[in-house]
Amino acid sequence: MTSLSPDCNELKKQYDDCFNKWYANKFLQGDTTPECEDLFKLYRACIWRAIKEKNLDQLISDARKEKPFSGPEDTRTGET
Amino acid sequence: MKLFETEYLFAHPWCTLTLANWQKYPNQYSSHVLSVDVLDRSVDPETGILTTERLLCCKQSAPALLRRILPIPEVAYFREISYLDPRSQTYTAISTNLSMRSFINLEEKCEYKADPEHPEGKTVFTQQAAVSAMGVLSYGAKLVEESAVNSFHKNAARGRQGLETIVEKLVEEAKAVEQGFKDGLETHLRKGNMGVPEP
Repeated sequence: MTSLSPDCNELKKQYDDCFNKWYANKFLQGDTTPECEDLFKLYRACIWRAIKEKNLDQLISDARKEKPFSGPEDTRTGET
Repeated sequence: MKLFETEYLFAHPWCTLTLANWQKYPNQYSSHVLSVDVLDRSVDPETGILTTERLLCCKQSAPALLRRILPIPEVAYFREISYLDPRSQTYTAISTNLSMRSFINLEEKCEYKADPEHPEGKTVFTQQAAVSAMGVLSYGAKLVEESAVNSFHKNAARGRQGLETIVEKLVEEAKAVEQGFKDGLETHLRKGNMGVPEP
């Protein structure tokens, strides 16, 4: 799948490939220690540049205030 | 506020479906999804829960009538936050629209949960959506909300078909993963945690 910015496609692909392998071969087998962190840093820096260029950063930070990046307790409260 | 809810039983184990879900786009049924990016991701070392924040860019699906009255952009952005719990075999993703929020609020919640009756072979998929129109749109709220619910209906079916095509592609890999997941889960259930396995 392509990224928001064509500039990030290659970094995204490298990260996605790493993550999908880790998810199948490590995470689902019980080893939840993160890998692919270095690739993610590079990809994330690229995608956030694109987000700022498209002026989406404010929209994202507003949405984060409503639903922060936190544990699933949030979803449980939302259900009731 | 208009609600939409659907439930579907997949004849695949939870681990296979979640594996396919991360690789879902692109597929032949998802031409409306233009890009998907991971914004943040972490694993809680205590619980083993994987949290992921993603940004999705989709083709605009607002009705033509609205597009004539409002300066609606060509694309719509959505933020998705998801929690994947390997112990309870539950994956929950909540998506909300980022653009046009002063006119319309869309929230979609998808859940994949191992079927309690067939935890190794079947997965219950539930999808809920809530739509509310506001501001100038509140006058035509009924129309707007119905139109949004209609596109949820269409996309829900396409989403399921799309996921099935990815599962088919992963069938060989999935067999090995399923066995490992089962073994891993049993080991960890005995140990009572989902941490790093002993060397």
